[in-house]
Amino acid sequence: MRPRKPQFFLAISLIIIALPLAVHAADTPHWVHYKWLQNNPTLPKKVVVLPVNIEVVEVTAGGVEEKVPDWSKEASNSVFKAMSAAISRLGLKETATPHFSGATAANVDEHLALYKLVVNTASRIGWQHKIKRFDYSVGPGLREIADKTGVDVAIMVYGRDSVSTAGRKARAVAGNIPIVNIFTGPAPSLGHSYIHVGVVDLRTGDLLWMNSNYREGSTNLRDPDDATKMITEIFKWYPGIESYRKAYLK
Amino acid sequence: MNRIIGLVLTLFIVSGCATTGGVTSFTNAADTSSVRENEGRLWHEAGGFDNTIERSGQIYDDRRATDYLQGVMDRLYPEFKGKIHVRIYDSTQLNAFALPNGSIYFNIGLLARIENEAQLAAVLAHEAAHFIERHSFRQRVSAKNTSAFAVSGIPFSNLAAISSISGFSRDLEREADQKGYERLIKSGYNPLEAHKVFQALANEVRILGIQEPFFFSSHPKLVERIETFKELAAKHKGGGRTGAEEYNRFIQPIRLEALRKDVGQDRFKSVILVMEDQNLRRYYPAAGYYYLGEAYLRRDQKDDTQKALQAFKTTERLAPTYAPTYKRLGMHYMKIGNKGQALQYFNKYLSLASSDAQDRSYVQQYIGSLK
Amino acid sequence: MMIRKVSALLVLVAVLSGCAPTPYWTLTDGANKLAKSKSFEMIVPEGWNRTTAPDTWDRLTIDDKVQTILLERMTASRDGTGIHTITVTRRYPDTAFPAIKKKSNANMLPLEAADLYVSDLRKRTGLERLKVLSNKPVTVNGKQAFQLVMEFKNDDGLRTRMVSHGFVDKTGFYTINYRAPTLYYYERDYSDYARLVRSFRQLKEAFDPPPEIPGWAKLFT
Repeated sequence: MRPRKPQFFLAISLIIIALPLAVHAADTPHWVHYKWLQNNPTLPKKVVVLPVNIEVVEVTAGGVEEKVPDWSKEASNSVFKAMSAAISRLGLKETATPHFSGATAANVDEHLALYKLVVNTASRIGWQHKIKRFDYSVGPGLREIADKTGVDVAIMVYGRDSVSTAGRKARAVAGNIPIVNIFTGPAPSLGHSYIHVGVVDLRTGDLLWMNSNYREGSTNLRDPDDATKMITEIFKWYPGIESYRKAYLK
Repeated sequence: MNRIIGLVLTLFIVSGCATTGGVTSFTNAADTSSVRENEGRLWHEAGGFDNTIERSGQIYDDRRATDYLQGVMDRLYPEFKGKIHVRIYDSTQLNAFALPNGSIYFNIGLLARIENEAQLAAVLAHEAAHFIERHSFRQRVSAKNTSAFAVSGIPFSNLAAISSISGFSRDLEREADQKGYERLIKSGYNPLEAHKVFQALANEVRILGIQEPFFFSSHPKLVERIETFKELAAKHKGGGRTGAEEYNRFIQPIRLEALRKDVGQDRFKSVILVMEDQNLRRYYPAAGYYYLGEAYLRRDQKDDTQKALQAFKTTERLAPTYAPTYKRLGMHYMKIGNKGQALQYFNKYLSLASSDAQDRSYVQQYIGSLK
Repeated sequence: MMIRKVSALLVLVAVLSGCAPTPYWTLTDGANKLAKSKSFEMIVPEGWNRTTAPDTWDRLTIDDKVQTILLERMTASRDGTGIHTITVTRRYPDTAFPAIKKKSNANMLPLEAADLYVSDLRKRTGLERLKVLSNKPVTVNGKQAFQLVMEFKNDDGLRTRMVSHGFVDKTGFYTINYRAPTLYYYERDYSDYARLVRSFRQLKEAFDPPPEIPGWAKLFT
């Protein structure tokens, strides 16, 4: 009997410490606007996807970053296709993105820039009252698109793919080898990819739903399979109203 | 273990083997369509910077001056017309830089310092030579190679990496000097003006202890530029277009704007340096004395208040319709308790300043408090 | 015995971590809308988060040297400081405009203070392209003050607007700032900001001698 007692104390102590962590682990990765948490929200049936911009940069062994425009275009196309497939699987109808020019294009660009700022802040906000009543917006300035397309909801995306060159990968291998890494230096970080997706009410600007996916390592957003995996993971939580309610409102 | 080390070292050697050789200069605009792959990426990145600079409101909006600069560039390099684009950059730093895609940016600070068209042409010819000789691509290729071996690589992820903003290697700078000089002569400009730009800049850098990145980046590089151009010009018999009158007609408003911005950024030393030197000052409009007064007030050393007052009085005499002078004089007399003079100057300001002048409501308030 | 000691220590840590010190942020509601610092107080709009206690120092790089500057600053935000903020700051006379190394004095006119403030802001932020849209005389807490409206665009082309109310007296330089994207946010919350400005009051403790720089901060001064 005697030898078990100390282990019993240890087990209880660990449970006491782990409990808050266990509660935290019930959090969801996505965000839902408080209007959707009300009873019987009207979920969209049709959406328009605003211009997708995935920036791909290649990083060399020495940390030189070089934007690769062809790859960026490829990645944007892959993500757009993955998005279209995901939208279809969710039973939503995708309306073609209208062509923007002049003042309209400038307005859309500025709203995309605002979206980037809002999403970067909102996704990191630790304030409980904001989590419980998520009410972020990009404002009603995109109403014109709703008028033009007859669609009330848009999907806004931005993301980045950081790809390592062969030389950087070789340095990473060397950097993990003892003694060798005295000469080569520590292993540099390899690539990472992230995508932020938001569902936005075009008439009010309300950020109705939001989720993002971040991956370290060799994810390649030009690869349709990798893009599909990341988008699928993001939309797994759509609309996720009940899970959000359970996690934060009860 | 030995096999792994061997493989890693082989990968290093292989990745370091790319050379900088085999890059030929462009001969005309059509040539630039031969840009491929890695260089194409640089061009696209440069295009991205063009968009960012425009989108973030950093272009100086003066159509006439911009067209004038473009005209000088097209005179220097007619075979590249439509490919080399000159824009004015809204910064008082002493800088001009070229991007690999043929975009050339010329800061208002540097424009304000230049005396004539020949000096402008010397700088434009040099910057365009960087583009034509593909220096950004040549230097970046070698930077990528050497950084593969560097233990702590230096990131070149910003504008400085692909532009001439920080200066290129000594060899590439010399090449740009030589090629730019040849163009200067060929276009009929007086090459004896070329070294004067760098002379003036070197003087300013030395006196002010300028550290920020600027044209040619460092004093030793400027001194080298001066010597190079003097050597080249020594072989020239003389003569050629100087274009002082035309240059000053377009650039005069920019000079005053550069002074205003320098004061607004607390760069009062630059303003004092320029306006106290009669050789430099002669190209500035008389209203420049107002900014000299403001600069003295910012410096706030012994006797600076008196010097400022004197500068404002000089502006009153030489540029009697320049409204801000009267606001400042009014404030001075208000502070020393001379109500009569203060009211006189404030009323003069209101009569001259535009209806939407920013300081109008302050002056109206001062008048109200004095009455 | 050892395991029991370790267990006890772990429990102690868990319990103590539940007795956290004062949180950095306080959510404003009807009962606590008066936010007080040592030198000033103001009414913060309901639903805004604000710093519970003022920040009392700032670390700035001036001419490549890191400096510790004493000040008093309270911050409020409704949606997160990444999007927008209201900041109320008192700077002491000797470090009123730290980036341009200028002091304030009681005889300084609001227009003079506004000019120095803009230069200081441009140098501190590196934003040469910060534009002044308007500058006019106003009153804050019965004192002659300036109201500046400024704007700049970031590299993505997003416009950010700032409005600053400021005044100078013998105790230093006071500013009340609101910064937000010009698109949607600035107009949406401007009236909340304006109410806060109207409620601002300088307290008599402002006239106490300024604090000394603590010993640790002198390493950075």
